[in-house]
Amino acid sequence: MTRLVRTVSLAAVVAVSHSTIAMAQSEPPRPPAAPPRPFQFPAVQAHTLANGLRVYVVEDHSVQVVAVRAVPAVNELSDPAGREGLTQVMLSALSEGTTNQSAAQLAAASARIGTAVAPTAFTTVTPAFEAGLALMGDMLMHPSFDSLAIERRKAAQAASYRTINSRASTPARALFYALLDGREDAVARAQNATDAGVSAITRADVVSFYEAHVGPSTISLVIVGDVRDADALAAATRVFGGWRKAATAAEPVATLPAPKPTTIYLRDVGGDATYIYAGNVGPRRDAPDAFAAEVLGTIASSRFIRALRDRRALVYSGVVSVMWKPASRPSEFFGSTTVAASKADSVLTEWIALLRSLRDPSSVTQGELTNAITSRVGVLWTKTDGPDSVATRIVDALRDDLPPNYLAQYAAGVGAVTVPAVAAAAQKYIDLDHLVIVVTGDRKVLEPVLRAANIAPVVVVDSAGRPVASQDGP
Amino acid sequence: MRRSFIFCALAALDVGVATAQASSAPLRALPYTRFVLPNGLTAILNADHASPIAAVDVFYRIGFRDDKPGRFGMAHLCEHVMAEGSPNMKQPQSTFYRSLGGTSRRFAETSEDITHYYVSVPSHQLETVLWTEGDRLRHALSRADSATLAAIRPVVAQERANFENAPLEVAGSRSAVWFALFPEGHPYNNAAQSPLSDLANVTPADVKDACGPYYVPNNAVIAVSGDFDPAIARRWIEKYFGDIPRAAPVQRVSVGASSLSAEKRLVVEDARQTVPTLRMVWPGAAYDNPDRAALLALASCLSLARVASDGHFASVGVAPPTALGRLSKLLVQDRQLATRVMAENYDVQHAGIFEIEIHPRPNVALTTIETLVDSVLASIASQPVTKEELALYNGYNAVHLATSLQPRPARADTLAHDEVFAGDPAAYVQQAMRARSLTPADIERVRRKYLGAGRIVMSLVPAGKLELVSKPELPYTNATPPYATRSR
Repeated sequence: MTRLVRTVSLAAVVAVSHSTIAMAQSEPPRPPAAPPRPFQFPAVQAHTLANGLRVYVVEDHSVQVVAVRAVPAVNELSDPAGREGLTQVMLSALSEGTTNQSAAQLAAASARIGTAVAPTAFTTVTPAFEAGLALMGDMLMHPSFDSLAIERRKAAQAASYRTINSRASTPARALFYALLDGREDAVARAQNATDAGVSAITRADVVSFYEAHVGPSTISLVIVGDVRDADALAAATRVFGGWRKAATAAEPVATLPAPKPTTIYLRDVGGDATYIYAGNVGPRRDAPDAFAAEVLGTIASSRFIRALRDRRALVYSGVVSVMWKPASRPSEFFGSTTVAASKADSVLTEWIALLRSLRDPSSVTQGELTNAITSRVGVLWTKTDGPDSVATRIVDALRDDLPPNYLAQYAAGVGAVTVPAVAAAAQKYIDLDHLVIVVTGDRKVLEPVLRAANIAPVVVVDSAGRPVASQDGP
Repeated sequence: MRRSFIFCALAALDVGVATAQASSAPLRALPYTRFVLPNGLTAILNADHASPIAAVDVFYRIGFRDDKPGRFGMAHLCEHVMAEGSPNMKQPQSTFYRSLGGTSRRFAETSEDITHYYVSVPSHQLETVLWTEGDRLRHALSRADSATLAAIRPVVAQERANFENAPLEVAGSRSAVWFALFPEGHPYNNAAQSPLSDLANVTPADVKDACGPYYVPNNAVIAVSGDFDPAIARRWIEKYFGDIPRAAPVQRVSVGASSLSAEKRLVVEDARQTVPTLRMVWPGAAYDNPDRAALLALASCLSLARVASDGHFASVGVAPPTALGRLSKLLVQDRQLATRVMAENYDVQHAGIFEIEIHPRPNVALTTIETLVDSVLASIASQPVTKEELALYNGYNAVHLATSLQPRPARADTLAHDEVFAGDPAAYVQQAMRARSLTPADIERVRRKYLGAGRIVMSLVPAGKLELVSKPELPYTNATPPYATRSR
């Protein structure tokens, strides 16, 4: 009996093995690549009302949804020094009551159409589009700026900053921008905002900021979805056509300091977490080689993951890319990651070696370029998946002073990038002699490790980027 | 806890349900085709040609609750192994997908109940993705070798470190609640971020023994949404998955109900927190529990602010009006004691958590907040939720149903999720329909049933500021995670 069972079992094992081999031999091969479909951004109809309000309409009748966005010409970079958070407080206070409706009435009206209508955004079903637009218009055009409401919004904004500042990554990011852009620059100030700044905001600040910068000539209205162009324009005209108010865009000017020699700025924040930010100033969005820089970032990021995660298991995640800013400002070409403190030197060594290799003109292969372009362009379809996504892409473009259908240009521009163009961008935008490298974490562990690695001079700094005494002496 | 309002309310709907007044119009599920291959793989196809993309989401019924004592974290480790490629895919699948123009929030995730792998690609790459996923399953855990495990462990350790370094408000304090609700020995007690020591000596054989039985076609659901011909997609699924052998039925550990007989008071201290937070939690309703709709409606009546967490508000960062919702109105609007109030029924497959979270303004005592919350909850008995409040809830639901399912990845995820969690890819529609028939009496019934004395009250306070704990005179357990004092 035992023998029989054993025999049967062996036979079964043999049979399974054969079947496995046979199956392995007949496994379906990878299918041939199908021809890609060129990316097309949906057609954007542009209109300007008599009062200057710009209206952009994209028809998409595949879903019974309409996404609406109002894009003001102010953002966090517009906040005056010492009043960081003002833009956000002003915009959110618009929903706290108008000269026509109290906050409760606005909320009830919003609820009646089942749609959370914010002063700058809502997405709803087709029949509720016009009612939502009317609510949005009332909030944008007739705010009452009740004092208590402003205090509520200040409290919410302060809480938001407290949350951001409680994240372990914040000290590194804030310090990186402060060192790269200078502490007084708008980007650095936005990255270093605190609840203390919010408390300084007064009702007068909110009102004057609104009066100066919000008006038909500084608002772009984006309407995407199940509405005909003519109907969308008519609705926008009905709601906003009678709005008469002068306003100007707030144009923060970039005041970047001269680059300094590559330095590691170490800030002691205690704890186990080590965050690293490293990079330098990159191209402007409208630079001729901006697309090449974009592809360079993709290749750099891919190599980063391959080298530091897949091969060396030094990090869980990380990215190297171009962080674009509005067209009038330069971008940043930088990367960030988090790592165990004891491995910070290994990570930086690998990272800089990776950047150095990218500067080698023969480094980037055609295959790598093709993958990067496919990745950048292919993902655009997913990024424009439905009215909300399309509206978001248009908002992104308008905020960066780009045309609303910028992604169409983007696809063409990225698709035309060549290997020599990437190599040239690497030479130009990877500046190993002027890297800002910020490391935050436990100084006791990090300082000796980083000094021993001799990657670059190590300067221990405080939260403002000011040098503090080294453990080795002043 | 990944499921909440977003996933209860995903559906397409008829135009006529735009307003709360019209919220009785029929809801319509996404059109889909469902079939089961002879080897047990379930496939769900939702064709939509509006945009040339395809989203693929493959669910496997293996999650943290399947981890065995002493091997916590194994399901998650297996997710990493499965993401390292296969004999015919010499690179991580995520790297390959990116090179196709694919994108994904994370490419793979493990939760209490499931592990899934998901990506969106230009639709001309759909067949390649199906081949890749077929190869991943056909050669499941083929990368479970010593070298790969040695490489993965530090990555998992760094992921663990990221979790520990996240604000306790969003990570560690929730784990503390979770552990209090599901005591040791309960399958949901298996920590999402388990002790790394459990994985230190894991061998390739351990990995295959632990997870191999789950990575089989009869334990998988694949959902595809987007621009494709369903007949052709079906042929591809049959071609790339059909000859993978069926395996023995998967025996998963049964999950008992969670209950609390009395109040548990917890305190978590966070060195990075400057203003306290109060969290009140009761055992809630699981995803397919008929009471879930009523609990969601109750949450909505307490705090309509949750609609503001929609993606498009996250992107624009400007909140809509928030003067509705009984708790929101009282605490944020009228008394100006809090900056944010959230009420929600979070759910996993076999359990739920009803949670109220309040972010007070600085210098507002948690004791005051807790007392007010209790008074509002108690007042519902004498001032029941009204039909008008329910209409507002259903009105929001109806619109949200339509707007949330625009992206193809959300569709694929929803269809697969509902198949796994409720046995019906369109369960979300049934849930929405059930919500429409709710009455004020239903809300009162679930309030009495669920929001009883057995609950968790957690004070999250700045480290060392125990005087800020809500009702500090009552006994409490300090549930601060050990890493929070070490790593901050």
